[in-house]
Amino acid sequence: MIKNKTLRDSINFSSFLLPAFILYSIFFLFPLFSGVLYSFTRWNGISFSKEFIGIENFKEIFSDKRFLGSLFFTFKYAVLNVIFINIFAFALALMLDRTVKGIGFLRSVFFMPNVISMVIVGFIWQFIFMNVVGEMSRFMGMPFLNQSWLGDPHIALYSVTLVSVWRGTGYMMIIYLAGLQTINSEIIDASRIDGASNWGKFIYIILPLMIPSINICLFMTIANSFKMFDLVFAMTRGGPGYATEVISLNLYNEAFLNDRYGYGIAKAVVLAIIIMIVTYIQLKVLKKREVVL
Amino acid sequence: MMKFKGILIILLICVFCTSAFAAGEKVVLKYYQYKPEIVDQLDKLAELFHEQNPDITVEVESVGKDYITILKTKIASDDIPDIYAVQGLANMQSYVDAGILEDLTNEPFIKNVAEAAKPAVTYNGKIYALPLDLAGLGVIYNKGLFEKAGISSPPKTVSELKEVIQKIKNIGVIPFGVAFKEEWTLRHMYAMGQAATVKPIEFAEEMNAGKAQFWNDKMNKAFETFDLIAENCNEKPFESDYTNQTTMFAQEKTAMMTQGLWAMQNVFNVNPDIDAGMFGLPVFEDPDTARLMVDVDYRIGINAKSKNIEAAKKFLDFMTSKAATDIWIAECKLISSVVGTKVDAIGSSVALDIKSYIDSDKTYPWGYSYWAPGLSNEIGKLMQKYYLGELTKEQVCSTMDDLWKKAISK
Amino acid sequence: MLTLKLSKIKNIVIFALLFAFALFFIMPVYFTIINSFKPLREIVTSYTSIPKTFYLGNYIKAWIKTDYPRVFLNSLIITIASVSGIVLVSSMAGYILARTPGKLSWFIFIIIVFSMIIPFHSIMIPLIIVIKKLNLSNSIHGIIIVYWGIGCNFAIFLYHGFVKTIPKELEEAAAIDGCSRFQIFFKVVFPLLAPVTSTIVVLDTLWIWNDFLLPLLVLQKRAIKTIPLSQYVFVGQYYSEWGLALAGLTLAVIPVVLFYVFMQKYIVKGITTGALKG
Repeated sequence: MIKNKTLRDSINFSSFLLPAFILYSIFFLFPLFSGVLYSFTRWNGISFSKEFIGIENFKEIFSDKRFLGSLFFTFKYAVLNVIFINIFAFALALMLDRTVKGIGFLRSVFFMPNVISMVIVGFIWQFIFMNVVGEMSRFMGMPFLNQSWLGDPHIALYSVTLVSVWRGTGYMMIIYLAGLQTINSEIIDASRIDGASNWGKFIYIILPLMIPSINICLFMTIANSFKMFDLVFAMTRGGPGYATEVISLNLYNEAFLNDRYGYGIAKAVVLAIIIMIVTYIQLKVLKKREVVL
Repeated sequence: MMKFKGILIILLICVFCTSAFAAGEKVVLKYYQYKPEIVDQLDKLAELFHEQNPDITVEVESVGKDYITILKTKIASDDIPDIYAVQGLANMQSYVDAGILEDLTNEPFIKNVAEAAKPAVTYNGKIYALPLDLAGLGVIYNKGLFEKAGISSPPKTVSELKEVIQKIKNIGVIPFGVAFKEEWTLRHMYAMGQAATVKPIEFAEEMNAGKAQFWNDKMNKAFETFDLIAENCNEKPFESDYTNQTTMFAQEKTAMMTQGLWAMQNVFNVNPDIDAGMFGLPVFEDPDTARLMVDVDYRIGINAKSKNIEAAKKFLDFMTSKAATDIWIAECKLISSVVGTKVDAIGSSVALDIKSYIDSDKTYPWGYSYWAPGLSNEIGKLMQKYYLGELTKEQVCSTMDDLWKKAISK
Repeated sequence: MLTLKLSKIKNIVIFALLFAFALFFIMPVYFTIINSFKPLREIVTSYTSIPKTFYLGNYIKAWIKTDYPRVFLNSLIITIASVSGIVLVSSMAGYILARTPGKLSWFIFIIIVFSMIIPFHSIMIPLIIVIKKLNLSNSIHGIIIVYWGIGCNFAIFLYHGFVKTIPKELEEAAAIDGCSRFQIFFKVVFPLLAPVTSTIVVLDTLWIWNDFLLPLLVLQKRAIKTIPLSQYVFVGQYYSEWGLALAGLTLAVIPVVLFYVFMQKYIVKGITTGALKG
């Protein structure tokens, strides 16, 4: 039956791949490339004239102080967000990787925030920061709680990160859980017989086998952090002033409110390049340590 | 089998013909707008219109905060609604330049529009949209609290304002409720201050010619009032949003707020018995300069490329009729821009105050409508920075100058 | 299945930590729910107190205003059809990419994966133009096809990763038995991918159910709107009805929560079955 295996392989390859790839090309790749073309124009988003201006937009970005400020803020946010989400998600997955009664309920609790749409999450937390926390600080006698969580430009970074971690941890926790549960229990048992301590098991067996999951989660949290839009849009709109304006919000304002669509898309391209570089480094570093069964 | 197929085909052709024929008769107008709070009333108006014009149906679709984004996306994808709400004069100018707003200057129903409402829909001497309301912006105040504090009439000068502030503090109430979190409230406040210092249309022309700037002595004086507000407002002003501002006012924790007529809707939800009024923000010692900013907030235009322009014009004409404006005033609770309408049906003394300012010609247009595109979005943020101490008042103004230059160089 | 066996004390400490954490996670949901049962007047007087009476007015008004049964049905149809399509095309694509060595395969994979870093706003306008040109706008089947297109990148990414943890010997054995590639995939590999499939089903369901921007752009007719779109009526430019908004969003969230709690069991089931077979 090995009649022209390469031909059969090619047919299989195409038929398995094509449905997804065609759909993806039409609805993602093509819009993406047309979008990139716009970044070389001076289009305002409404008129029909799209004047080609080469790389003028990109040159302007480097002297755009507000954009550079957004970049800096987004970086700070990304670092905090990635670290905390992954640590909490991994820890929770470890703690919840058991089949005792009620574990399903507990897992649901931690996943709950992710079930709610971003817009509404922003809304609820605004409500909490503005009203509930103030009241609570009086009840519980903790004046420290009575800060201007969203209004003080120095604190706002941490408030936004807090909500983001609250929301994002459950999502990554699921991925870590799936990863933990594909680790064959025989390997764990074997190591116990060999006398490995819990800590030893963790470092030498679990961690290395979890690298694919860690890879996936890191990649996603990094990309999501840089792309973040909905949460800031709902909670602070980038304020006060420009204090919490993340890159996505900056480019959105540029494209849709300032009527500079071409310039806004140019910023989107720059953002994409930044994410690409960061995640490329991340994937390369961890790929070396991947263990394939 | 063939016979069956044949009958099926004939049936299909018949269905197709009748539906095409019917479709040719009836017109469906798409009306896209951004005030979700009046959707029910607009539906009612569409129903009423349909009764009078059975072959035209108006489909109202609304979206709230992201209106501009969606509308621009629709325009870019050539999916422009027949009738759509135009947010702001600067946007209207862009749409006219792009050829997607029909010229309405010589339409008969434009005669029904009050003169005061016309500048907001005029570009290059022609009218491109129908204004439906006249919104008033000023200082909304609690009449009951003012009485309690021994204030006989609203302040008209800065010194009177300072007295009022002191008297309010004496009865243990916060003078001003603010919502610094929402940059548009600061935009309104700034515009109120600037309105007393320059005439917007001339200002815009001079700015375009490079002859004017945002900063001048008069603006300096206006900033004094801005400082007064910030010094006598609720705690955690940057945390406070529009809901908080209106709620505090409704609960009588604050006595005044710089807002528009629409704010009363929220206020009445919490406290339907409150007695409120509106006065112009004093910026100078001359009482005549303390006026209300009254201008068109809501205007609708017709897509110049629509296939149903005549039908759309009929709808706009209907919207200026008595039946329509009655519903507009009584149920949408907005002042109508149509000549000869009264505001009593709104049931709010704030509306009555606004009307009296209009009648005595003590109004200013909304200055920021005439600014270069994009600038009205920035001023609120710059004022936030000013209040945070990150920018001086001169810097706020010079930044606006720079932004204007950038905007018109496109 | 326990990956680590710990002493009793450590277990108690862990559970205490979990409990505290869980409280923090639930706190906002708790406040949302208790305030949804208060009329607006009561909400603004005290945000943290328990409602004086079980006020149902918000829920009734929200149900009617958002046309709940209809939007629920729309969301349901769109979500189920989209997720099914994504799982089908992505599992196949992820599988074949993982099992085919070589530069072409790697290149295609990178193209698919790198798109995950693109923010939606960058492709928004060109995407809408494409949708309009293909006559898919303002229709339920239209938006479903779009979701297939933009949802498969993440799913392919996950499938690709996990296929690599399935030993090739199983497939080789089936091939020797005379199975075609299709049969190998659907009868041997796909069942083993159950944990990943469950994960993708859960995550994509949540994404699509809660998605706001794409439906906002594509679905204009009131009759085909989804739940998140219907929520928007409560938050306008100068207007926010908190009591209604909180009740409305609770209504929107209940189906998804129930869905997750239900799926929870299947994830565990899928995993234990997979483990036994492996």
